[in-house]
Amino acid sequence: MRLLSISLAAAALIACGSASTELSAQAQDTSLISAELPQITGEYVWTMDKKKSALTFVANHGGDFTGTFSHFDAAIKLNPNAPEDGSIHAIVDLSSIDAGDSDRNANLPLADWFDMKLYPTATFISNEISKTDAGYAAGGTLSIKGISQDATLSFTLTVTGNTARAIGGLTLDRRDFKLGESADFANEDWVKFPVIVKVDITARS
Amino acid sequence: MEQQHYTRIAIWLHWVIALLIIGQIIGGKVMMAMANSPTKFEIFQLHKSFGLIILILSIVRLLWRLTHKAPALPATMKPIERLGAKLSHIGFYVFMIAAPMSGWMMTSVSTPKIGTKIFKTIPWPDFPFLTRSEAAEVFFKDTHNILAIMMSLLLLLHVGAALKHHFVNHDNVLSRMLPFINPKG
Repeated sequence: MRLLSISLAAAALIACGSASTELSAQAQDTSLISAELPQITGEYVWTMDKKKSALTFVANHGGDFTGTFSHFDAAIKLNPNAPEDGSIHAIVDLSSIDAGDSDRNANLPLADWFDMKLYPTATFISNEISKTDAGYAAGGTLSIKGISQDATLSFTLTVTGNTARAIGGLTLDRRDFKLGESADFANEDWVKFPVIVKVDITARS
Repeated sequence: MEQQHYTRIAIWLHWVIALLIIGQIIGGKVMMAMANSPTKFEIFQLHKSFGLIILILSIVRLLWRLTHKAPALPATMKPIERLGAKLSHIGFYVFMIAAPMSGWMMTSVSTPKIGTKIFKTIPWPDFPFLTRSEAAEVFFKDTHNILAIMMSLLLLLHVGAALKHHFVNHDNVLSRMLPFINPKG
């Protein structure tokens, strides 16, 4: 899998290398994870602006704290007026996590938490996007640590010209993904079960 | 004239380490009985900080002891009493170093991995050559507990013996370790 993603990324880099310099500069910024996303084309395909997009989470470890994933990407196809034809496929490089504390950052890669050696990425793949009163809801599958669960990402969308900004999130229960599987974390004494995941994505069509 | 008391440095090391050890024994018992909470976590970090201070001071003290002669025991003491005194003092040096060392090892093998910073400032490394596992954590936890219990018993014997020397034998065994009363160290 790793070898595959490396070769895909290499292929992507070579492909971009023959394109304009601007594109190849963008390709260098693109990580191996981006190569794992489906290549989609056509109308209402949005390219995420990594510099203007943020993936954060709020969890509780002796108090609420905010963490970030600095490395993630998404293949997005979404017509704001016909969301049911759209799709979202997001991937997160878990090693880019920063939970704001050296103890947390030291433990999160370990088997008890994300087990990043075996499961370096997390993904969200939508299967149904619909309009809601507040904005949009993307129902789909969230996969973390080799476990796939149904999840719904709710977001609002603001489109200005060819730029779209989606703000939203979802709440998960860390037990559903075996995050903190040892006895120390089997209850909420140290780390509470709910984790709020927040996205603030800027993309261009 | 034969030296009648410990050096000033030895006396201060003795009492500072003594207070820290008593605090650690009581603190250790209290924190183990606490329900999990951020406060308990902070107390654990303090226990680790004080334990490492004891370890450092005890090594300094051992080096000091090896390079500075202790005052002679009273001539009235029987050979068996001298042997007992000697062994109990050696025992203290063993516990003063082994107890914090076992705690440091416990922290170095524990899952979860919790870094050590003395009083949240001075980073302290993990003990080398050890691999983290729950089994290793249990082993060092038991060792640490047994050492603490043995040291507590030795402490009682030590205090009892010092008081007996002072109030029953009326010799200088206690006073030679008291601060402030000696003219010079």
